[in-house]
Amino acid sequence: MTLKNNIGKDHALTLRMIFTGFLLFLTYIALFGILLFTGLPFGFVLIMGIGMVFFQYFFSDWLVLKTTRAKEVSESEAPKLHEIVTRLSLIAGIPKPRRIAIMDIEAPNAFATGRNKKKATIAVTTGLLNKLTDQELEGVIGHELAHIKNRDVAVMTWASLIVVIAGYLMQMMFWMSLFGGFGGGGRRGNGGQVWLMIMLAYVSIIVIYFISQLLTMALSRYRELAADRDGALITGNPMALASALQKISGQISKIPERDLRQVEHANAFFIIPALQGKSVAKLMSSHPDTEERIKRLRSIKNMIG
Amino acid sequence: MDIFKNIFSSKKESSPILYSLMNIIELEKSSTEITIKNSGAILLKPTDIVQQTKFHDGIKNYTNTSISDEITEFNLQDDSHNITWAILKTETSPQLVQGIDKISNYVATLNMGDKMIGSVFIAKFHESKAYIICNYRTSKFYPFIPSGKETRNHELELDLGHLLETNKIPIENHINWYPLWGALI
Repeated sequence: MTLKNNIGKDHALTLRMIFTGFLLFLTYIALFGILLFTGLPFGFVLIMGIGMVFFQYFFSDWLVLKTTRAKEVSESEAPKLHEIVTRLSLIAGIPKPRRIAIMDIEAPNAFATGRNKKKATIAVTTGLLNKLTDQELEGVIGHELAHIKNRDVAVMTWASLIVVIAGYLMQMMFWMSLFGGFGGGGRRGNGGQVWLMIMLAYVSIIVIYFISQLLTMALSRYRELAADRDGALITGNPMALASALQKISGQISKIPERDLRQVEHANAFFIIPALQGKSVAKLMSSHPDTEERIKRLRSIKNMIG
Repeated sequence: MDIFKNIFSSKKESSPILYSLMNIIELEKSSTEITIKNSGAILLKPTDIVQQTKFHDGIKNYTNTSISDEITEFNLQDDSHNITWAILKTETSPQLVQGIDKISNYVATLNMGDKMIGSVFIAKFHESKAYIICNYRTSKFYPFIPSGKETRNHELELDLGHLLETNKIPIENHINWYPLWGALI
């Protein structure tokens, strides 16, 4: 086994992904159990949810390119970008993405989309091209190629199916409760029991929606960490990605410009926000904390040497 | 100033912060990417001229009498920010860490520990001149690598930060990586 193969495996992260996937599976069972138990006619919602996710799965690249107004660029229009993508795709062992696009946006950012390796698209913003060094740009492209290699678009699209379905059900039940769709037979006798059962189902669906949302976000964060790791291995330069992440996340702008001797008297060192509700925000975030990502990239750098 | 009692006591083993730099000095033996130079400085901010004179005289006297054998060169310089730089040169880098620790301890015994901003070490990192700054307020280190007039090589700083951290040196949060433009060393 090569050093690269050893580094490529992060068993703890893999286990966490499997566990999260298992919990997501349980939420599916719980949701369908509730639907079967209540016997409510939710077929339409299920079909709609699955239809939406199918659409997202098959047309995500087209949809994202349209909404971000990304313009596909040829090799002659963006030779450096094409060269980096071609070279790193070769190292990653995947086909060069079908489309390479640029978004005319000042904020540095990038994304990969497409349902499989052959139909992948990579898009970067003009801000990314202008603000990053060549090495940092390679770090970001490596990360996006890792997403393609790991089939993250497909994984996350299907993982979020339950959130979509539970979301639709929640909305539907909300409107039904407003307009008496639960059966206006009153709360007495059988009608009351049915009403109570439906309310329980409603609350359960809300709970499932939030839990599945949290689990999907957790899975997304794990996929990001895996893409960081794999991207760093593709380029062999984890710190370039770390540096790019700081620029992209805006953290680099937080690095002080003022001289140590100027701020000293103001005791600026003590003004370090330790907790700013970060823990809750972290749970609902699709991306891991930049600090954590950089820390992990540093460890990879340490392993690579 | 308990913090200074903790950081700067007379015994080496109770000054883990500054002495954590020894891990990097040890690393020099096996790595070519970093070399710690034998010169460094302590940054002091006296409140007034009386205190400044007291600093100057006290430190000069201390270095001449107590640690003259350990240092090869010592001088005090004031910069444009009215900060006094106590600059040391030694024969070896462990001596430098020791010298800076002793002088910092001495200043702390004068009950002026809170007038010290931190200490600065010079390193050569991947062929670039790098500063490793120990912030006495937080008892943590951070790298500063200028790349031109008031510009810095952040990628290399991250790299050095990583090297320090993996060698068990406490690292400052990057929002406190304050530059030291025009450092006197």
